[in-house]
Amino acid sequence: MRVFVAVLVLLVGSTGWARLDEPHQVQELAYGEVAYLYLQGDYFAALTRAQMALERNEVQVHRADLEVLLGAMYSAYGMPEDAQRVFNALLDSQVSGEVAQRAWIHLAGLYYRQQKYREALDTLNNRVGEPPAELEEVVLSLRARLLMRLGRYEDAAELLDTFSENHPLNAYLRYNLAISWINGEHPSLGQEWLWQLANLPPASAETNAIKDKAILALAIYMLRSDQEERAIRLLRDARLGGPFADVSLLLYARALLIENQPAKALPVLQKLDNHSIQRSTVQEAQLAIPYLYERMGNQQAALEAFDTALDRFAGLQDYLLEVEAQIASGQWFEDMVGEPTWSTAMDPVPPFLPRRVKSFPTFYEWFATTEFQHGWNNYHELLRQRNLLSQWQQKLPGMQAMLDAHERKHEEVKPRARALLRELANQDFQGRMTRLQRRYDKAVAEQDPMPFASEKEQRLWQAHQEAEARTRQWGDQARPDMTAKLDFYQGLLLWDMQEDIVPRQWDRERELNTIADLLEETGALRSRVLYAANRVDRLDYYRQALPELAGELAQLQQRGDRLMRRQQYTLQAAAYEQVTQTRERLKRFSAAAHEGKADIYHRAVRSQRDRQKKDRQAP
Amino acid sequence: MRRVVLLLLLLAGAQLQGSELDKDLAEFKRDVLEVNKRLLLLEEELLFPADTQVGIYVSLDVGHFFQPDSITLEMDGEVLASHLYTEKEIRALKNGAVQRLALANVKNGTHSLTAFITGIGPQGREIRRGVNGEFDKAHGRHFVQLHIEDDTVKQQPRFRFSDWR
Repeated sequence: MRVFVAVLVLLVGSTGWARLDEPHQVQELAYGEVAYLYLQGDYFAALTRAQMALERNEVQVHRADLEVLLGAMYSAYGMPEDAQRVFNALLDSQVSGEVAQRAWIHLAGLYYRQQKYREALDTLNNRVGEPPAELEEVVLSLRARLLMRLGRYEDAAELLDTFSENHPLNAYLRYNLAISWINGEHPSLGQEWLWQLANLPPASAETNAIKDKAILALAIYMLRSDQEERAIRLLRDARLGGPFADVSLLLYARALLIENQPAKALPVLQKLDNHSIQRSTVQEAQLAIPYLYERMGNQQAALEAFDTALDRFAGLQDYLLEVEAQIASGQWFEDMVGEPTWSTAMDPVPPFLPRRVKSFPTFYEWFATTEFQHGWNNYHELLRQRNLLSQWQQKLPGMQAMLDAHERKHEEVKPRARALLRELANQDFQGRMTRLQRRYDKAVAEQDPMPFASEKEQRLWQAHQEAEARTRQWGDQARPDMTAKLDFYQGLLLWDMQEDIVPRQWDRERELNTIADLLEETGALRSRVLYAANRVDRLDYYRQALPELAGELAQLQQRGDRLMRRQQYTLQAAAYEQVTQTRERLKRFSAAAHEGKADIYHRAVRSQRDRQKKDRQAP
Repeated sequence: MRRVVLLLLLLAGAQLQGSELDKDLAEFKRDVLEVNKRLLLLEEELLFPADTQVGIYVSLDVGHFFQPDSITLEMDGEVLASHLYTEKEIRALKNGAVQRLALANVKNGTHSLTAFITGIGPQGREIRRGVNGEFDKAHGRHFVQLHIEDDTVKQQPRFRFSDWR
């Protein structure tokens, strides 16, 4: 099961985001941030961030990419209808071929999750076409799994040959295919593949678990096909620390018994007997041990072993009755769940494991099923949601206080802002600027040098004007050479000013432009102040939104509690079924033990009678 | 007897639920996501109004020559954020994702940033670097990105701040 979950995670993780082992192409921070959360499996946080980005229109370039990611996350987060809606909308719109291809791949993955295998394969065949290099493995694995689900093993095998040998999915897929073959048309080929898997070098926990499973499957096949010796050799080397250790031990003992080696099988079963009686393999071992003693001719030990078995079965029956009562009262569930700890409410669901309560071994196998994991994860997801909702509820008064503070500040700032705006209006900067511009344009058009004169030149010009006025007052008394001199100086001054009039005009033009820029900035600031001074709509919206949100939070809390209870009952019902099955099995085993005991007595009585008969017949 | 009845009810109820429960769960998740989004938007607007908001982001491009262990970020001489990286986070960054390291409120004008970064460089050597940057905060939300890049010529990592405005 863990392998299956890991495979799903791998599949989802890799399809949503093409690997970017090259200078990355993220052009918008919001998109990169969503990817950051998504790639860590924080779907809830990533979904929230993606929705925020879409609402605030933070993503333009990567909008279609973000929507693909959103659909993939909905799909992985158990919201198939939302995923379908996103993909359909995306595929109905004008998107690039690459985006559409990724959306189709996700849609095929979604169909697979919904067990619509035919639809998924058709989508891959007719819509996806040649996948991009980075998604090739993902598409191949999905196709291989679909082909297997549809019973097309030959096609799946052909596909697997193109699959990267070191990919963790490979072992998982090969195991499934080998099992299909071994039970179907190609047992020898299945055996060959299982042998390869059993001899994989030790690696991750998932790979090691597949190795163990391959060894078990291979051993069963060997026992079925009269290869007992090979099965014994294989099982002798099986791992005793893995999740299938007890099954391996039981199988090993069986193989030894078939090979008529009861003395060797006994210590194996005794080793298994050290485990909890709640495990089905240990229960089976209870019956096998007396049988072994019988085979070894030790009837007394066999009888004692049957008695021990019956005692243990009875003890377990009593205990299971207690467990049933605990399940019904909810105590069992409460003990198993424990008290989860969280760092933040936006964190993903931590990998909760059922607590190692006393009844754990009874449910060991059920805990590893998809059905249990699904319900268990849902329960914890709901627990997280409830945690998140109550955190928000605790934050609401703080948010209200912040809102009040914003309002107070707004009320304080508003009169100052309005006064500033009035002052700005009185200064009439824009009007003054327009007048200056007109004067400049006129001076340039008339090529008048005076507006561009320096202070010194202006003083000289002024002095010249005054001297000329006085000279004119003198009339005929003025010396002609003085008038000529004044004309000469005037000409000289004008010539000086005209000589570089263009650079002078440029200087002025630059100054005017600077002033225009400053005025523009002032205009922008003014509009902000104007907005701030009259901003009531946003605060109004918040004031309205907060109580609404408080109401919604309370409603959601109630819904969450109800759903948690429903999920808990579903799990409890399934647990009850497990207990019922175990009790039924124990009844059968107890009957078998009584039968075995009766056989021994019967044989003993018969042999005693035979001996007495012989004694009587003796002369 | 009461227990048996309760268990039978439990079993019957559970069988009916199944996929219906999954549907209800999906609907519940949708509503929680919606309310969570609205609250986060509201909280962000109240805590970090757009006019004063600045976001500092970190990206790793591509990470052949550097793998970050920790980052300490200072703004105008004050420590703004510290972060220790997990394997998952590094993997996400190497795949092109972008981390939001900090969100803060600042006044308009020029601000200085300093990041102290530790990590593993080429040949497994430990690297400690400091990188300085400046940004001009103006009207509206403002973003600054700390790029950790591969300098293929020098076979070394390169660090720089860039402005998104």
